[in-house]
Amino acid sequence: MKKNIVWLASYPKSGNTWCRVFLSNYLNKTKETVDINNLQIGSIFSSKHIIEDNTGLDISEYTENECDELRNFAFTKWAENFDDFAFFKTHDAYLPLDSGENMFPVKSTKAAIYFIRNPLDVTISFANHLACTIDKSTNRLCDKNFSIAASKKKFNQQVRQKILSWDLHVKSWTEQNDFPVLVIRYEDMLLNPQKEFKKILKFLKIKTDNNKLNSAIKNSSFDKMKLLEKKTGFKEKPSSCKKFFNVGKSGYYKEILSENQIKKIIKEQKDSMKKFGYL
Amino acid sequence: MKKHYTYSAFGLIISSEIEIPEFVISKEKSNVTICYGNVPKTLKKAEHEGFRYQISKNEFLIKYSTWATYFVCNGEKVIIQPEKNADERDIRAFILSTVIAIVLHQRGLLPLHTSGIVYKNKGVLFAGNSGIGKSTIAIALNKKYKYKFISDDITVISEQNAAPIIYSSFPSVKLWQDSLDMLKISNNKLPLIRKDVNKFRYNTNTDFYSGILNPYAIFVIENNVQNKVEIIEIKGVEKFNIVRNHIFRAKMIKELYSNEHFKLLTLFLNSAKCYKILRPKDVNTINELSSMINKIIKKV
Repeated sequence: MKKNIVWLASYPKSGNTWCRVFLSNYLNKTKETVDINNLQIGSIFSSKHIIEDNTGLDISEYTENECDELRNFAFTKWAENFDDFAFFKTHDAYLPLDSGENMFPVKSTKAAIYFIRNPLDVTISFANHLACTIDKSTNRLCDKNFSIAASKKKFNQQVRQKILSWDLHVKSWTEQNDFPVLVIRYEDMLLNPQKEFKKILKFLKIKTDNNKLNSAIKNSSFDKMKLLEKKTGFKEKPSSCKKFFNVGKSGYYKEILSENQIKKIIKEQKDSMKKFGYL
Repeated sequence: MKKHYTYSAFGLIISSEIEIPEFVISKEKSNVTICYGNVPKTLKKAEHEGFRYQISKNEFLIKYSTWATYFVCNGEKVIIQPEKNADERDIRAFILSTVIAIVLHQRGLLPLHTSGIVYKNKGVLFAGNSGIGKSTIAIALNKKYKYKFISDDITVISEQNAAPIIYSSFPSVKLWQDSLDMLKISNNKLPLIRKDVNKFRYNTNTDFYSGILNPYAIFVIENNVQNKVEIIEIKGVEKFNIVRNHIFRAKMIKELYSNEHFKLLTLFLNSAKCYKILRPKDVNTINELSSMINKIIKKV
């Protein structure tokens, strides 16, 4: 069994896709900008397609908990198709199955990179993503039992993911001891992408080539991705949301959130906000 | 003496210890039996193993943790060993999908992951990955243009006198709530396919065609990144490559039946036109799509 899985983990809207596009460009053997609709890095851990392909089963008739039982097996097997790194994206909180067994394939895991972003900005971006009001996204961000892709009314391309509240999500990944985790703040990526992406390459023991680094940063810039989305569409965009790449700034909550929304988030998410420099 | 029910489905006559109300009752002599009993713990000569299953060309064993283990052999026998307190709907749901598909594979037939309707005594099939809308489009065409319905998830291709044929399956469709909403069907009194899965069984009895058909066309449905519906005719070897991806449970059986499948798929595609449908995901395009398909069917 290979030990090659690297988790690109985050609460939604925290820079995970940006890093996937960066790594896809950096590790791309040609000089061309990668197609955002055909990213070879970071298949999502909740993909029904991958679970079905690697178990041979049709899981559209499985319960949510039955699907979770298949994920460890499916992604361990899927990881065997990669050499040094099997990058998998996930928004799941780092949780075991109800039985206590691992839902994540720990034995095949090399490391994780955890992307974190100020929840006061996340809630605005999350509202755009979910096509709901900021009050609603704020309630969800503070909901200790929140799950995504949990609709029982229709088929979903992804299995249900328990993401919990923002604070519990952060703790679940950053306080586990099963494998090493590098925490990257979205705000630091915006401020100094060279430094942060170098940090990621160093953590993964990938040789840094400054020309390639600069070119990959340029090809994964927010403006470039926004333009590509406008031109070709982005298949990962939920149909209810107008644009996946929306604002991409930090600190813009000050112009948008109400005092009550800010107070609620700070009150309920303060542990991890303090720990990671947002308070 | 245990009660047995006899049914016809997929061109088979099935004698079952378990009542399967979705199937059509038959009085003919059975060639497949389904019964409760003890199953082997493992296969002696498994060629592939997956998540809680083992498979060889003539044997298949799968354990669904909370409700039952199924053993299928020689395309003619299914033995089910249920867990304590297993719900019968759960047991039945997997007879109607994976288990029956393995019976068909073992018999050298070609089960495709398609729904189907009838046009002028020929079969029109809709292939695609789970959740893409195969069943919804078949029911929409049935409701709007009165095409009879032949199959939901699985359609069987076989041959008769060196010509390809399609067998009808059974008069029941699985639909999510959003599909029922699109089709304006009330979920009132519709049974769930499984105890804890919120998908409904819709009975198409009066609109069901039972029998054998010649192939007419196959539409392969895929998502479109662009926000529009497109239908493109596929020709040549590309037809084979596209439809091959929609052999039912292909990932589970690997290449065990590749010779039989190659022969039947080639025969089928020599007689059927092939189209690719690209439609935006999660957008209700059912009216536009059914009208476009109807026009194409009439022109083929």
